[in-house]
Amino acid sequence: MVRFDWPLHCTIWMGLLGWCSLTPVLAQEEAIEAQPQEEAIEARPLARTTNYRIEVELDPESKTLEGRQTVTWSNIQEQPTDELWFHLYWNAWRNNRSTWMLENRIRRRFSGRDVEEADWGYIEVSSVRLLPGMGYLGGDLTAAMRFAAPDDGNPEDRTALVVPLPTPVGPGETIQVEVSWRSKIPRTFARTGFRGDFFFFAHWFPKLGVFEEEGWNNHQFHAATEFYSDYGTYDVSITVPESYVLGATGKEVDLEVHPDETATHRYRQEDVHEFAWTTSPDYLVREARFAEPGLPSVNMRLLLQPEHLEQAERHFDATRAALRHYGNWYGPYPYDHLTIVDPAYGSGAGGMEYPTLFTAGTRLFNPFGGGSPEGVTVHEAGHQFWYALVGDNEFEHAWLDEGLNEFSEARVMDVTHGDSILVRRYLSPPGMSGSGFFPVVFRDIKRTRLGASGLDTYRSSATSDSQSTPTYEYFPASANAITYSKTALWLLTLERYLGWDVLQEIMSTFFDRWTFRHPRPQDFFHVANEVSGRDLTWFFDEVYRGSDAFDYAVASVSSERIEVDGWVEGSEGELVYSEGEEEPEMYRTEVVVRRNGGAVFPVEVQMVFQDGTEVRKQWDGASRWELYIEERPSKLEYAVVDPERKLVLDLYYTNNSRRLSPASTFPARKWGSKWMIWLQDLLATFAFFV
Amino acid sequence: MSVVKGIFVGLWRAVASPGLVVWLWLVNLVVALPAAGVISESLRSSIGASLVHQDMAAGFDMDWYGEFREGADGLEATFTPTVVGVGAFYSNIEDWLFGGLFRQFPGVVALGAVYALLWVLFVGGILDRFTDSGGFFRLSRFFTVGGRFFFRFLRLAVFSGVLYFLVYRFAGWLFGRIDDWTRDVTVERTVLAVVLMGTAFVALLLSLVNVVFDYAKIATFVEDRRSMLLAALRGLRFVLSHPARTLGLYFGLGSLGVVLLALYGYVAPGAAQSTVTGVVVAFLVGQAYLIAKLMLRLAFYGGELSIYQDAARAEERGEPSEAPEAPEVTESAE
Repeated sequence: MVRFDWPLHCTIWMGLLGWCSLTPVLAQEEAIEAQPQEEAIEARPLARTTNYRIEVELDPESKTLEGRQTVTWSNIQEQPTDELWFHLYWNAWRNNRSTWMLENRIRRRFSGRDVEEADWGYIEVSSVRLLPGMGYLGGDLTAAMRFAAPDDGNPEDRTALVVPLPTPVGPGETIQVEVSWRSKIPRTFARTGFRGDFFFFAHWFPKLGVFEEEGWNNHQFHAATEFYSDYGTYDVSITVPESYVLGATGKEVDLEVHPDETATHRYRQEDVHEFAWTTSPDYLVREARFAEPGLPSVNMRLLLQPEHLEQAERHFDATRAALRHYGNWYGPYPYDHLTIVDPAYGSGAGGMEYPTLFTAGTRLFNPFGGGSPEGVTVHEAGHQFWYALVGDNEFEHAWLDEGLNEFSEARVMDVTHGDSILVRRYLSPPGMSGSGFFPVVFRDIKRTRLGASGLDTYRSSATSDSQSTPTYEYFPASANAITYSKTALWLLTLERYLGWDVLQEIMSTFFDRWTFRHPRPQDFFHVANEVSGRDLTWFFDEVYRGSDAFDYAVASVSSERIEVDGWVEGSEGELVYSEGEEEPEMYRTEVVVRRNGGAVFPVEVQMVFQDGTEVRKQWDGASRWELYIEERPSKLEYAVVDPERKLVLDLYYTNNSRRLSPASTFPARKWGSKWMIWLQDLLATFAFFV
Repeated sequence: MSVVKGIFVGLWRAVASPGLVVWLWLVNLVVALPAAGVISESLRSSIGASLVHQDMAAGFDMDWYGEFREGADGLEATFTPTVVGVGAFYSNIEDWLFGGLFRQFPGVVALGAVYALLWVLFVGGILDRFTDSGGFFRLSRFFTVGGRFFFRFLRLAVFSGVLYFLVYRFAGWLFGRIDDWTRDVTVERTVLAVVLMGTAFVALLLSLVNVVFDYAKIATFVEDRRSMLLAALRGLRFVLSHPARTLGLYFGLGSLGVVLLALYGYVAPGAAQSTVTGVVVAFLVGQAYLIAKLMLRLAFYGGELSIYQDAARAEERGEPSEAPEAPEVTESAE
């Protein structure tokens, strides 16, 4: 396990940041030596490229935001640009014609039919001005701005805004633009919006895309993808009713109360790529501290629903678990504060990550051990590492944060809680959103780490897309399975194949190398090859570039007494005719294993004999089938392909083992009898009606 | 007759009819058995000779279940790990409350319909058993009497079915409105309270239909009525004129059902039986609960019958009913 020397690491890191904030470009990292099959990636610059100063006012009655922002942007690429591209994410909920809406219909997550007038949301940019200074004359750019749909050409989509510039911005140059806008707050879509007097705001302002070597990377808002933006400093002044409690990315640096019973909260945060905030008059505020030897301390601020007061410590404990384990495994959380938001009931804002702030989500009566709210809290706290610190492009390679984080969450939950207990919620009336109100715990039915890693989710979508397809082009209905579950499963496979020490070093190296930067998939593969000292291209070909399924199976087993038929040599060398004579205590065991799926992975074949002896064979897994023959003085007991279950991507593990003896009927009868009791009661319920 | 006495009479009549209880339990068992055989065979086929059988013998393997569920359709798809213990009954109560019974796999609904038809046939025999002064339970008499009333009770079942359908439609509408009304409520306790009130109201409506048609059947049986429409009206009139006794008995026995479920929840075996003996004991505990529930259903009929007969005797003596007299429904002889 790699442990970080925090003071040294911190000093280097802070020094780099300080230098980069003065010169908005150009920390060029040493080129990484390439492994033969993985392309060498030049480290991209580390910079506070995009800095925002925003003033925004919430009108909770009309459900609107009025905002004005000054964006200071530096061109850190080597080519000029004569445009600025902004995301206007909230326009995804302007009407039912946006790309986000169309794709969600394919996902069957949202029909758009039941949305009332007050539920829609939008963002309208009223002016864009280039501010004079830094060598630019300034001017009003409003008239020239236009919407673009670079991904699908949907003319109804208004989530990407292009602002032509009168003069190109050259490499190393910096400009300032002032943008005024007004938003209608939606009833929650994509974790953003309102319910009653609860508000959550994410991706709520006109937000610059990322200018890359290839040009502006500014995708439309899609159903199955999230976000991508540059790091910078956010200085945000938010005016809300004075009685409202507010939480936001960063730390509050100023509070001004106005005579009209409003208050302006000023929050500031350096080196983040997003700013989210929430406000409600109902929040309870609780604070606690994370302190762990070898890791920097963190002040945790929990905005809690009053009805969840007794669950406050569970939120803190889960956040501590994430900070501790991610910190020890990958690298320290560098900010000294973290805000945990317990969103309002039914708000749909739970389970989402933003820099230095995340939303968890819990319910009344949540039993301990059922995985909630611990799982979602660990997951979203974990995104502070994979997403907030290592800032991949979630439009194109969402697996780089979601998948790595899904794997890490499952690992933390496994380390801290073990298998979770099955919980089913009852009392789910028809026509009502959400799951049931009353949880029932099934204490002796456990959900394993494989379940937590999403094997069931992945199984039904295993071949739907190759992971190397840009995420926004995934089939919307199965995008999550490929992004979250497949990655978590192949990382767990890699953990079992290489060992945790090696994988942990791979991930910590990747984390260290790409903190505050935008890694691409090749960067991860390159680090994996470099750190493991192996060429893992074959593995990434299967799991990343391919979309085939893994499924190994024991097709048949037999074990029979060896008999001799025909002419054999006698004891004195003479020919003797043998008719089915048995050799003493020798059995010929035949095991046929098959590769049912298209994907290949080296596996072990284990044969266990009735006398307790065991034979293991290595199979490269490439052929469609293999026959293993053993002649031993004992019959076979059972055979297993991949006995340690290293290949957790194997979709059907039940067929990986086979006993020589006929199938036992005991488990089937046991569970059949339990099912029968359910059916008998169901029948009795039918009899109620007559 | 007081409610308490009615409850005791009902329970006593159920307890005093072991032959009837055993017969009804056997029918329940036999109807369920073939489907259980199909499920057992599906499980056996899925688990096969794999090593998963060890996990499934000792407990439950959720990883295997994920594979099973992936390929399960039809009846197989009704198998979930939550059939363990009291979870099975919670599911059924929820399905009863919200009409989920009829959204089950069609094969299960068909089986339920067959079972319900059998009960239409049995109700006459059950009531006859409770009016019979003694003697052994005889199937020939049970079926003779049941058969005599079968088509009449079938018509009643159709009438009540229309009302149950309307209640479920109303429930769908009601909870949809509750969802709308609470869409700006940020406190789960508040929404839960409203949902509980709505659920209680739906349960009340279902119970009212049930109790009215219970008395309709009793009136049909006792008075040998031919018009089921008028019998239904007679049941309604009887409940309206004796609300405290009829509803008191109904909800008193219903409360006993809740207590019974809670007791079963306390002792219900989980998933951990790894021996044949353990499985048999778990099965028997489940059967004991089902028999108790069956007896409770019989206690409803027994108690309601005694209240009806008692009220009829009181009416003959000219004693007043609890509520102002509703207009008499007359029936011409056929």
